[in-house]
Amino acid sequence: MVSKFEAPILRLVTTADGPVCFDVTKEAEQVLQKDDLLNSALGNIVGNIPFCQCQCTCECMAPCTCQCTCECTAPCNCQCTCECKGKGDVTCAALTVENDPLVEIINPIERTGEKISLNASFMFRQEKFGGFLFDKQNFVSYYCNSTAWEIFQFIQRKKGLQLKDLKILSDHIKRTFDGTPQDLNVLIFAFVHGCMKKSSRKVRT
Amino acid sequence: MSESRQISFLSAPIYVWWDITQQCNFSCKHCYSNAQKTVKDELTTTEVFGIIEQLKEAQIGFVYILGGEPLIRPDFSVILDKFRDTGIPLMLNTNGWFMNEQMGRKIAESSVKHLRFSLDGSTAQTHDDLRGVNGSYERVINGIKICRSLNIPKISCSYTVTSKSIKEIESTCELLVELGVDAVQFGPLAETGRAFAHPELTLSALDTQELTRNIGQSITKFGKKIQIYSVDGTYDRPYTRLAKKGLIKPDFMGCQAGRTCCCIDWKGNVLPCIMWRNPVAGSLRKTSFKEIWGKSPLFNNLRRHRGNEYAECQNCKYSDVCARECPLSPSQNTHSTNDRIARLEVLEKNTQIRQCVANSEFC
Repeated sequence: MVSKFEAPILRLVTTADGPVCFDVTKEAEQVLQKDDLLNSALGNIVGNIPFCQCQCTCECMAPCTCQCTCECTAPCNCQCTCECKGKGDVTCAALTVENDPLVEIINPIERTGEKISLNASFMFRQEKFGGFLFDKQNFVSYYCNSTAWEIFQFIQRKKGLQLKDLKILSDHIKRTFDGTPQDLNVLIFAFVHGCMKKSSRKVRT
Repeated sequence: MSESRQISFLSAPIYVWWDITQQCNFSCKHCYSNAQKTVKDELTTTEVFGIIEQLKEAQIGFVYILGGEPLIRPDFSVILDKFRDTGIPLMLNTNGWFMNEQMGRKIAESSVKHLRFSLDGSTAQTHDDLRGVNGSYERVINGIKICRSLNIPKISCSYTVTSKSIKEIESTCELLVELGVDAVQFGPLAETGRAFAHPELTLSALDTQELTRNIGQSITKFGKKIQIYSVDGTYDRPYTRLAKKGLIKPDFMGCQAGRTCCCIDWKGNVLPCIMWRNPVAGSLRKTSFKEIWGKSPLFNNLRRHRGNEYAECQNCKYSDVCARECPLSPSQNTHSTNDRIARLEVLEKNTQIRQCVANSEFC
């Protein structure tokens, strides 16, 4: 059944412990009728929970692109134009690429002869919203939408896909979904590229 | 139809707690599973293997093995082999008593990615008193040392915070840093299992505030060397804070039981949560895991939309992802209305807390 195309998404599954309506902090502020001393205390004890710890004040929701040294794998809370050093470019390594270690890889997408496949340490499971991915090494859960799920399924059915054949994948997505955009190739290439495990990209020394 | 509306849940759990035995060599005062020295009618090796196959088929993310004391099972070694062969990653909890070089190596060669020791104090007096066995502290410390020298990806400790052990949080963090432990989880005593018989150990609202402060101070001091965190109820985790600011809409909010996780007990009963022994969603001796997860009336009830029950849920933008608070959290003093009010009253009246917060490193 053909369904409407949505740009492929792969992101962390987000879980919040307590419901919004049970915000003790807010009530505490009201009770204390003072500044946010208590709030500060509560807010600062989140250290080294997987979350970007950079301290800039912006609060937009763009993916983290900052370059800090934290090793978190979660989206950044700060984001946007901040000039902190937050580690952006967090990759959910759902795909791996086999390539020639002797060849310098600047952009794996442009190379031929390299084969991408699903990361064997990931569990892929279909869900109503698309797919659920689980990193079995690091115990991290990911969400993907239907388009992303179809891309992963296509690669799995092909038992791996030559990078030069990504056009075939693009054609498949065109046939599978309604309303695909003009720049579908770019979108898919960018998505696949973003899912590759960086460490698998060998660089000639 | 609003009656049939459901909140977010997955086609199979991300993880399953599995109390693989109720047997234990300890008689801890706070044991949630009320572990015993001998237990009848536990799952046989064959039954365990059958369940592992079902969990593989269901494509769950990982299994967290607990007990009782898992290492007390004579077939534990072959169970580890079975998990490894089926490719299911494990988290394993132990009291450390039976840990030795041989067992450590077995675990290192298995699919255990995360090994967790139960440690309830930085001194033998505190730990052994809660655990009810002299020498248990020494054995668990020794077990940690053995395993740290082996190739086990992650080693952590879980620390049940009681009124007797609340003063040893910082010293425990210091100890665990020395031992090279990767993480420590602090969890307030939950009033379940054997803890019902020891109300003197339960944290008060004031204790909860002290706990929050102590953990925060420990993170400030040791947070770069060890991951320190607390289970739900002590403070909001990052995503919760963001959700409360309206910055994100989480995929799952509030109680996760029957939505992203569930529990299996030593007799093959499937339960919503490790802290919740009744009612039972189904028995794996009679029904498949897939069917219980998908069709159990109990799980479907946990996935119900709360709009018809709570006025504040009717138009809440989180109502399709939120199951509200843990229904079993009276000990955490932060969730039920009465306890929240009590906590706020403490906050208001206790100038000592305010002074302490004002002087803390957080400000």
